[in-house]
Amino acid sequence: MAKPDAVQTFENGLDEIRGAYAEALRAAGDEPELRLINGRYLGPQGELTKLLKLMPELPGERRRALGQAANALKQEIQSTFDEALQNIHRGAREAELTGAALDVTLPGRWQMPGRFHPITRVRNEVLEIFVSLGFDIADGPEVELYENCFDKLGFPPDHPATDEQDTFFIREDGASDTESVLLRTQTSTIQIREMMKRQPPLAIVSPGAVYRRDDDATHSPMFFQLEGFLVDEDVAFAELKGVLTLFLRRLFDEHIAVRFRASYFPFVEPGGEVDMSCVFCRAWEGNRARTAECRICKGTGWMEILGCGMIHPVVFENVGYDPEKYTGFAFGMGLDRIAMLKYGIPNIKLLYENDVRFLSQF
Amino acid sequence: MLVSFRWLQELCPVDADVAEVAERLSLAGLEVEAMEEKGKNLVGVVIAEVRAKSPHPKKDNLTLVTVFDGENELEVVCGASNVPEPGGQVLFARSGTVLPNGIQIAPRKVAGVESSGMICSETELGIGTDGDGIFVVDAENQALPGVDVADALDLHDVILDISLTPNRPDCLGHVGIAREIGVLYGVGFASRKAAGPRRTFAAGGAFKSGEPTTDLRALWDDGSRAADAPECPSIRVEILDADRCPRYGAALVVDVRVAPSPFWLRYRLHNLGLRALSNVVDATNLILLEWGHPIHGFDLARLGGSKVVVRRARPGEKMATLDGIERTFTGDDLLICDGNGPVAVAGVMGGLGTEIRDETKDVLIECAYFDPTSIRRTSRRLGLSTDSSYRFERGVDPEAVPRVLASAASLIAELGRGLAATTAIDRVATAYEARSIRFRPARATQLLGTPVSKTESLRILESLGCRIVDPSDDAITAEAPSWRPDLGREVDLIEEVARIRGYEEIPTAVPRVHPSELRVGSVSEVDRGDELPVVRD
Repeated sequence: MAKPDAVQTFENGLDEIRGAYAEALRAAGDEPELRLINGRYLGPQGELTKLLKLMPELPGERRRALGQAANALKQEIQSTFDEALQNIHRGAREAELTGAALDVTLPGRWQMPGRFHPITRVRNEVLEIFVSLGFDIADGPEVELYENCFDKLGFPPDHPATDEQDTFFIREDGASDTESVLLRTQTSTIQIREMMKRQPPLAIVSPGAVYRRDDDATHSPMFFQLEGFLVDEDVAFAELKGVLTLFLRRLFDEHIAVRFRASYFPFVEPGGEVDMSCVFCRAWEGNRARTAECRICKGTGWMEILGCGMIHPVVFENVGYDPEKYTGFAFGMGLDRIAMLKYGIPNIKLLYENDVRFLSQF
Repeated sequence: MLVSFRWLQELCPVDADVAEVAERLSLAGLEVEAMEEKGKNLVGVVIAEVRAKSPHPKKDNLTLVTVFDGENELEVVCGASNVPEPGGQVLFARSGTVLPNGIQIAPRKVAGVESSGMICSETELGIGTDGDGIFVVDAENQALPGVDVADALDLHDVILDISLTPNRPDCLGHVGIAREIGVLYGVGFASRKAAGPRRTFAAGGAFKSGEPTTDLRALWDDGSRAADAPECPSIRVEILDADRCPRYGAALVVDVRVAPSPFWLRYRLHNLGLRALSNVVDATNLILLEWGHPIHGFDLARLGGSKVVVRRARPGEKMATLDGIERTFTGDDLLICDGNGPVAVAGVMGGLGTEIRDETKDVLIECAYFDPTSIRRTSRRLGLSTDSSYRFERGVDPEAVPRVLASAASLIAELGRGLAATTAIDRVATAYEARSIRFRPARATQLLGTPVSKTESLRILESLGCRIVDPSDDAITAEAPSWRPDLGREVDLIEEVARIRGYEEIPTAVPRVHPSELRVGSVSEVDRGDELPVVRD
């Protein structure tokens, strides 16, 4: 049964549209606007479309006449739209011809070329030096077992040495730390992984991301390290000094001084830290006054650059090497720190913010 | 750790300036991160004598003071309530002086009265934490008016901030660092005896019969005047967990007067980052900073049953620590108890109930060796890291117990004008065994890549305190000193030899690198989007 007021609604609807569409379409300023207005009448959700959906509710005797009226209106709207569109196009063409001439000498649109991130650049430079010395490159997972990150490297259980590296745990095992899974805090894990797989002689470097619960101007919770180690029969501390001195001079400046200080890391013995001439006041040039004022090295002329030492026999025992037969050295450095020193970057955060104004300087 | 260079020079004098000593220490692994000279920024602050004082005409909380600064008599307005009577001495900043806190002293009118200069407090000069009143010079520091305060109070020192690696607990006290300096400069180091207390008594009945004791007189420098034994209950020490507490010593000082410490002690603690509280507590802190061995003072009168029991806690057992917080323990925590219950968390913090108070008369001084991992677990579980737990969890010297007790008893008796017992309880539950280490000079030569002779090795190892058991040609057998828990195997001794000689003595060499069969392409082939040329299995 048709609703009694359907005819009324339909007729009112047609009248309303008829009265408004022409003015609305002609008022449109540009093509997108015109299409938008047209859509309001003829689009899938348009007013006329909605009316046409009411057709089945109309009583049979009126359906035909009203249907025809609606279709006629639809065609009227369409032709008004076509006409308005033509006017807009004509107007635009007109403006192009009478307005200012096109400057064909303007530069074209272009895409910024991508380039290496400063850390990647430094990483590749460092790797290049070690590869030229005969080292291989290895890779390892960032999600590690506690065992590989601490136990096998000779960190005594429940020892304050682990305090120095605040760890992100993926799965903490209540009973014993050994079973825990974590984000590696140091790339030294690669020593364990490679030595468990291979037999000496070994000369390996391995760059990668490490994670610690630290966050300030000089610490980022994720940062990059590079681990290197060499194992063979008869490897001596003198060779560790030789390799690192050569490396630092190639990377920074052939004139820098390098000095080795005693220090402690559980997986090396003897262990040390390496200082080199401050690259900010160029301490090796001997300008004392400039060095005295240097805020980076606090007037000392030295800056700390990496940690190193002879691989601890306990590490060899843990990976099944004979510590009487083999000796070796290991070293680790922060690639972020090297990038900061090499390019004079004051804040580690700049390396991770991905600000194109910063990155485009490299 | 903050370290007084002055104190180091008292313990081990070397003919070198502070910058040179700092560099030597840094190269040997005790990294000096900062140095601060004390007593040099007080130019214009002098000793002045109070000549007269009268109330301010308009404001009752102010005093008009006439001081003599060695040159002139000046009138100053002072807001403190502790201005001494005429004849007393104060610290006076002359007009024109800039104080360490940045304040510039200039003549000005205070409530209508002209005031030229300022009478200073400890905090204003940065020489202490007492800001309540002005600093009144005590009898022993009195000097001629006009003398620089830095000279009169003997403020000259250089404070080193040393970043210590966790393997060197022996350097968590001045004695240890002085010993290290002695080794590095080849001048040797003999720990000196503590100055003997002025008055002592034979403990006799103070310790329960059968308690193992050690005679402190052998560890004191000079003979003291013995007094009659005071009335004292018989004290007893029991160790119920020999693994977690291998050794527990206790010394006794009676008839102590608890009072503020003399200036030299407060100043030293202040420079080293500790707050002065009272002479007895300050003495325990000074001993900690001297020996790196934490000690604890109990008020004997509050120690129930006059006994000390070292045992593990019962799960759920509770005690309020010195910081006023009630702590709940697990069966894994080690407690110090008296006849009634817990009085201290072993090696971490003392209990509130037996702390030293103003009315304390008799002090029982604890000096023990606790198992490092046990202390570390308790400290972590309670979220309570103290100067004490920090040292115990790294490992203190178990054999130092008698010497530390002798020093502590002597200092507390001296500062509190009390009587020190000439013996102390020294209960050993598990005897310390020195680690015997085989050292081959040939192996050291091979590992370091430079010749290491037997003579030189012996010299260095002995200077470090190693006892040479067998000096055979190809393998020396040495016992590690009790203060070096980090020395356990040959390679540790090789490091010591390299470290004391100096890493700079080792030449540089370029190693032969065997080409790997896994050799891969060059890094320069790495282009955008490409992987690194990594070795694969």
